[in-house]
Amino acid sequence: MQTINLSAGDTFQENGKYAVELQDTHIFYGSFRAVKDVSLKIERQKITAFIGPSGCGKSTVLRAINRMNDLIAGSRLNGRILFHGKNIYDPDVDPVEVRRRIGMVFQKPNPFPKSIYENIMFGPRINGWRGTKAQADELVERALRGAAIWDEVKDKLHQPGTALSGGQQQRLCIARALAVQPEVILMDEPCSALDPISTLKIEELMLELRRNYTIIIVTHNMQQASRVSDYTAFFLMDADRAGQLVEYGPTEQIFTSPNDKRTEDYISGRFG
Amino acid sequence: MGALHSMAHDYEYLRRTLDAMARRVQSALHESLQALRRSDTIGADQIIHDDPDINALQQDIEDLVVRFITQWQPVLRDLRRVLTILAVAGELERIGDYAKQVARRVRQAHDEPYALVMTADLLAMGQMTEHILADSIAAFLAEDVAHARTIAAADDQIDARRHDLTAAIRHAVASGVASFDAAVATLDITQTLERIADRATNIAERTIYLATAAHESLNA
Amino acid sequence: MSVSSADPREHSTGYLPTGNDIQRNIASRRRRGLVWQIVFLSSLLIGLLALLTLLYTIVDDSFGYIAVQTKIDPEELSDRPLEELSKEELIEILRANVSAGLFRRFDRDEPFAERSKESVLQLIEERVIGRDVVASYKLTESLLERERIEATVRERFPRAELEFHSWINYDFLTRPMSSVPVLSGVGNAILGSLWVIAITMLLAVPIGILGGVYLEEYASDTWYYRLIETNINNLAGVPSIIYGILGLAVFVRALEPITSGAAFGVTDSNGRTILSAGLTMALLVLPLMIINAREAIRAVPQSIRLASYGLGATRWQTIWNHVLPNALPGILTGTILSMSRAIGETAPLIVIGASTFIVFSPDSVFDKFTVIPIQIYNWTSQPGSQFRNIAAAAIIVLLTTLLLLNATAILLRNRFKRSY
Repeated sequence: MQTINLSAGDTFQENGKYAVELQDTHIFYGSFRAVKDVSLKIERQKITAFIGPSGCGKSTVLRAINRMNDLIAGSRLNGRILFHGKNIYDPDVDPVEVRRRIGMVFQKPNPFPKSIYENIMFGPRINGWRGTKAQADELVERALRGAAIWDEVKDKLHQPGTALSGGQQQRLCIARALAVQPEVILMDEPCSALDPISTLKIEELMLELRRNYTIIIVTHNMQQASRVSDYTAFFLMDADRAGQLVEYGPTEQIFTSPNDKRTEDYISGRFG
Repeated sequence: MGALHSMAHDYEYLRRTLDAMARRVQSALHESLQALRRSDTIGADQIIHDDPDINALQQDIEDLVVRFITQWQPVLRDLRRVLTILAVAGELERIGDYAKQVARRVRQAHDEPYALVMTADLLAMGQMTEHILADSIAAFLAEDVAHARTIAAADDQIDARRHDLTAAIRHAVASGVASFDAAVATLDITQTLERIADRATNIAERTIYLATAAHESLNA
Repeated sequence: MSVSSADPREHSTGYLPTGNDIQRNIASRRRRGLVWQIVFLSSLLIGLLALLTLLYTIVDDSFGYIAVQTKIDPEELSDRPLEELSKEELIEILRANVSAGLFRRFDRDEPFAERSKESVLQLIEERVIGRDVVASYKLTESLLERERIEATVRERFPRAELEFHSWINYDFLTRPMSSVPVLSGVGNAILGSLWVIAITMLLAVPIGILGGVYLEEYASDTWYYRLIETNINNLAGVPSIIYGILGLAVFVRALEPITSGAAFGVTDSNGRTILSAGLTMALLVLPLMIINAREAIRAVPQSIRLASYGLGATRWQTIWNHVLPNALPGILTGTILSMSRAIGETAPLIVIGASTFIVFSPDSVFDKFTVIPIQIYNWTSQPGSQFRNIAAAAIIVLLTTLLLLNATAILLRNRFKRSY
């Protein structure tokens, strides 16, 4: 198994501007093409939002980036998805490694029914982490601080993660993802199951995380996309029910004067 | 609650931008009246030269309001806040233009030349205009309805003052003290000052609308 | 939409009840509903009635008056009560009061050194004291017709004493069986059941869980896996006696060297051992275990698995760290339910050859054995009213065991019910 080694030299664009690149990507479930012809470049340490009506493939594309689609029987991908210059769908790439470097936060918060401490330590442990108890404590604290939830849970690290409120659970899931030190964080509608105040807290967190991580977020909430993201990609389902990328650009431009009329119609709520 | 990422935070930034624009406009008015008093053409030229900056601030505020509405989708009082800020920015921009107009008249009086009918009354009217503008802006930024309502009385006084000044200028022309051009220019200045006061009253009306969602007319 | 005429054909949209018709229509609909409600309730009542009748019959046979007469008064044997004597003293009493040949035969069946004290006591009671129940009566009879019973006994058995006897008592639970009903017990049947269940579970539980894990987590949706799945589901419904025939052919006969222990140096038995019974019951219970394990695994929410994979876990790590621990309570419940099914199975064990008369307790998996249901079967097929009494008592033992097991399963299931 070849590891994606950042210090390997010319083959990998280690200091490249783009963390993830999709090239001519088509995604199929069995014989049904769910996503067609998507090409886009995700800039490092920026927040990119995928918006579009339901069923237009945004979540499918997101899941393809960390090969979570592999878990769905019959799904396959044509084209390439480059992570630091290497195609993650090459036969010599292990999806387990991809998922360690590209983390994911899901729509409905899903902490493990274990203690908060165990939730955070699970990722490192199964990835072969070794260290002392003191080092583990430090790792847990850093992850929880990184997710802006340390102060709220530092006294109850051994209580179950499922006992927290919805917004706190989602931040716990973010902390859990941070614990394995990914470079990219994928978020699939992370706030759609939360109340407005928790939503704003997580948006603030995203702006903080942007300093060190590349973030790609799928969202139905257009105000959220305009508040938080640097770049926005608008997806739409075509007549053959395959999702495609309609427009991709800086958020400021997409939300003031988009190039494509379909983008403008969607953002002004005229359909979808 | 997040201090850096909230509607309140972004609104505060918007408000401060409007405050900066208001200061600019007040300063322009003050300087133009000083230039009038001292017949200072250099000062007048400066005001004319700086007017585009005021217009640029109004455009910035417009862009900020659009962005604010896109991002936060405000409703109720928050929506009225940003809409009135937009309206007030427009009023201020016009006031800036009026200040420029006064400065132009000063420059013109020097160039022609003729002597404007400079009376104590005229300068007093100028001061009253400055006050009414300052009051209305303060009331708006403080969202103070009671204060806003007092503006109406000041506006009436300015109207009365203009009435008196018109009579005085007619008398000056009739008695040959002032030339026809001077009279026209001075009348224009009084009219401009009165327009500024009207705009200030509009700002006061916007204040009442912001606070109460009611449209009250303060203009006589 | 509302119409004044009641004739549906006169208007294009038919007739919808209005005005007073509304109440009439509602009343008739409610009546119909009430009729069905009564039908459902009646079904429930019939079921309850059947259940109550069963319970009544069993309880009726388990308690009642008995008329007892003895050959020798126990006080003539020893001045202390027999229960207080030591095993050696009891053996002496036995030797003194039975023929030498009979004594030797007892020793051959099971050497006295290895017998329990209760066993010797039982022999004394059987052979020496000759405590004989000459008549037994049901509970309702005993409660309602006491004078008639007393008169009958006085007339026919003048030497007998009338006492109220509960056929289910401590002795009944600990003693081995005997040809004399009042001295019989389910002691070794209980032990036999426990041994067989232990072997069954030891085999069925791990294989069931592991098979269930493979089918749920690793198997893809191909035709051969679907075939396996169908077969397992069908096997769960196969009549248990067929498992008995299978067990007879394979475990008792074909694998006799192993199941009789010959391969391990045990020489005095045949294939009809606890091991064969356990293996057969394991086969019977295995499809249930697999289905149950699959259900429990399926009940683990997919979101937990996704979270685990999303962190870079392999499939095995996800199963071991999350799927199995969270499925365990469900698997446990299913295991207990399978156990309660297995305890009650009779037909396959009859075919395998559970002994119907056996007085010693099992020591190893290569021993002959009997189980509670077979004991019940045995006693109900013997003539004599007293065998019915002890059969009823054994039924109570079995039902109580099943009730306890099911209650434990429900308790565990409720206690471990997690909200995700």
